[in-house]
Amino acid sequence: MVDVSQEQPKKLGTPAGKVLAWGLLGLLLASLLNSKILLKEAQSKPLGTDRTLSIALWTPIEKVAGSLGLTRPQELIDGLLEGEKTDQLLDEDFESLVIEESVVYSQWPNTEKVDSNISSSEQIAVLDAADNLSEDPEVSPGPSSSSPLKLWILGDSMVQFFGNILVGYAESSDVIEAESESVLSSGLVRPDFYDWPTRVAEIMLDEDPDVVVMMFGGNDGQSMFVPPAAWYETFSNEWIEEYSQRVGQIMDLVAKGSNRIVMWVAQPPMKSEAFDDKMKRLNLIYEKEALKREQVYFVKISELFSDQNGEYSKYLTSNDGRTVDARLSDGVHLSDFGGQRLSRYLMNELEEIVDLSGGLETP
Amino acid sequence: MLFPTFTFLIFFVIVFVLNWMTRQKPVLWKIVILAASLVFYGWWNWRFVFLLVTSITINWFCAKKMRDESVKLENFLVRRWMQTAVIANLSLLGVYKYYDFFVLEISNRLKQVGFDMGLPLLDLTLPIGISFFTFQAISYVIDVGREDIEPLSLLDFAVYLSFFPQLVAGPIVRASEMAPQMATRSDPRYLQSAAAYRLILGGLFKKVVISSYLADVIVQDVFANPASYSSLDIIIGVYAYAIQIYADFSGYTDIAIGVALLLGFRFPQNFDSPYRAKSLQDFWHRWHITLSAWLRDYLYIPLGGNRGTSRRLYINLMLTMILGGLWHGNKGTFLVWGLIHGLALVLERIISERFNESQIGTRFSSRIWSLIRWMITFHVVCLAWIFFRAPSVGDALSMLGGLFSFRFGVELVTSTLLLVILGAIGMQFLSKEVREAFQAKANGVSAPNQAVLFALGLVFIDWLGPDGVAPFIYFQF
Repeated sequence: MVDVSQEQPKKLGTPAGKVLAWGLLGLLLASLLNSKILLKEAQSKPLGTDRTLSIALWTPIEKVAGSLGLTRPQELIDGLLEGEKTDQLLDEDFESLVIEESVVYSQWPNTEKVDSNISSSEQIAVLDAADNLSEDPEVSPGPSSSSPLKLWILGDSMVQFFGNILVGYAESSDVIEAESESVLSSGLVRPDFYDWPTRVAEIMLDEDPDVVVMMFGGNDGQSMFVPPAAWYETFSNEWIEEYSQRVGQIMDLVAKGSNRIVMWVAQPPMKSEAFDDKMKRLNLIYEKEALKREQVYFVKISELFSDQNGEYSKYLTSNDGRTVDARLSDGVHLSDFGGQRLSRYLMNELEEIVDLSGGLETP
Repeated sequence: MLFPTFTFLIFFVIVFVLNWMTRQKPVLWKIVILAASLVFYGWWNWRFVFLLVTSITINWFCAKKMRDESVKLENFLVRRWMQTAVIANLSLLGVYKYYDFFVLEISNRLKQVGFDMGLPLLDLTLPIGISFFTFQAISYVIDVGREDIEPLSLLDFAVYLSFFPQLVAGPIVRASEMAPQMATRSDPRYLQSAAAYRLILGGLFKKVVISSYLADVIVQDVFANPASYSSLDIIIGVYAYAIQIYADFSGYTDIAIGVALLLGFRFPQNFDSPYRAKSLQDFWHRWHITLSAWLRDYLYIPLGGNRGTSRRLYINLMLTMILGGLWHGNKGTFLVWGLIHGLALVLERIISERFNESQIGTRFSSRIWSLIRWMITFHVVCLAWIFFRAPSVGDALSMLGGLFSFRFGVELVTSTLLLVILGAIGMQFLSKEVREAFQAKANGVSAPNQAVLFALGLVFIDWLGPDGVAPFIYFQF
């Protein structure tokens, strides 16, 4: 690294005005070369002034860049990457899976409709009445060390904080093979950022897991773009309808037409009241969609991460009576202890569903 | 506000223009820079601006009192004001960073012996950069108390403490380095823009491309679940983390130094090829230089430093490194990290005192001896990084268990990954002459070419980097 402080001050250099002028020209050149990506990023922002201004800024720049041929390098790179992606997607098995499951890549399908006119309070009433989850389908034959149960854990950054702990617990038994995959800032609202349906379809085809633990929602409390040109405000009726479909479809992608089990993990209480309110609303949607599907288990975890009043608490009491921090300072993600607590709970839930007596050691 | 974002770019263009428009009018210029710094800091959470302003006011007031005529004559009064400021700073740090940790520990210990005190926990959000600006404030009041520097006016001190390029992750700049630069009106005709662009692009490349790549392809996986990987995957994962944290932190510093340079300020160097060090002492002269200098001047030397018995020196070294570890946070892993460095420094001292190094050296050729020393130093540093990165001491021990399990196979290691790691380590061994020759050449690039190279560099980095950039590692400290 350069030691700028050691350099002798010289009467050499560039006037500030010139630096500004050339710097701005340099930035303009960078913007032109990168305008396609910048416009795409602007379009994928949540509805609002920031998005409107960003699109207004990048649209003319992208047009100018296109007419000058300055988007060509980016297009060439895109072409190369797209070529790879297309080759992947044309895989025959994968295509057949997609057709069976009615999945369209990079675009959510529009299959089963739900009643979008149900208000939140009505939803709560419906859900309160439905205490019993779907019947337990058997996974047969039971897993053994020679034929282990395949467990996958998928989701957003929340999974990053417990997924690998759960993998460790699961693999302490010799009857489970586990894998965890999380993508930061991802969710079901922004397939343009990360296309979970395609990734889930890939995993189903390539890995054929028996049980899939899923946790989404942390990044989903935002407005939603629905091709070709619709924008739905967060938690509007259209938004709830579309989001419910997406949740239902990703559940179907795993469970429909197979013996697979989905354990859908609810969002825990959050420190910020506004964020907590969003997560509670999302939990209602997840629970409702899970109830419609026999093989989908909705795992409520609010009690695991609440104080005596049922409210968010960073600090909880461990089994040995110590007070331990269960959440990170962001008031959202789980601490190491929080991850262990959730993983233990999920393992117990899994034991309720599947007979793991072939070799499970209690962590 | 993160450096590698469009928001910062717009912010900086505005600040750049205002900076050079007002530079010849000192008071106006200071108001502009102070306002810009508070906006920069408040962008994360505007409430913490009040915390920063409180810190500025208390430290300025205490330093001013130390130089009051009536106080100056009484040494103990000077010491009292200095102690007041240091305690205030440490209390601020203590409440936000350590209070809950210690209360939890005490509470749990009491529970074990049957006392449930129900001590209150605060669950406070940690203000970004608090460790950095608190250490700067402490250095200022101590320097004033020692009469090493003159106290600054409130406006000068506010600009010094809040100056946005170094506010959230250093380097830890001393008032003695910053104040003369504030007093001198930089000449807007001679801006070191080529050096600044080079530093900013280099920093962005390290952060956005190298650090993100290593975190993504191996570090996160290996540290999250070491039991699932082979010994080779784990050791390469540890090497990768050593490079990742260097690229991340030195990348930030490079950008900060480059940004400050565009505003006419020269910051001290914070890294000097740390992984070429052949001893731990050498490492600490090259890694996070401004923190190690701070620990030396305001902790190690006041504790007695090298004076006194060997035993006293060892204790001073251990204490300095342990406190240096805890500066990063209240986790046991940071304590162990400090312990490892402290122990290694003590061992180095013992060996150099008891054995004549040249005698050991004569048994090997000088190159082999250098290589052995480098290997030992690098691996001690890597061992300490395992604890620094792991979520808990238990997890770090699991990493070590996995490392020595001698499980075979390779899952995560690829030729590209090895190339990146070897390349990054190799770059540290470039001679000073080569680096200076490159820098001189780069600094001589004309303004139009600077602009074109800067533009191409930005686009190149954006294409190579992932979508979205994780915050800098040192933001959490």
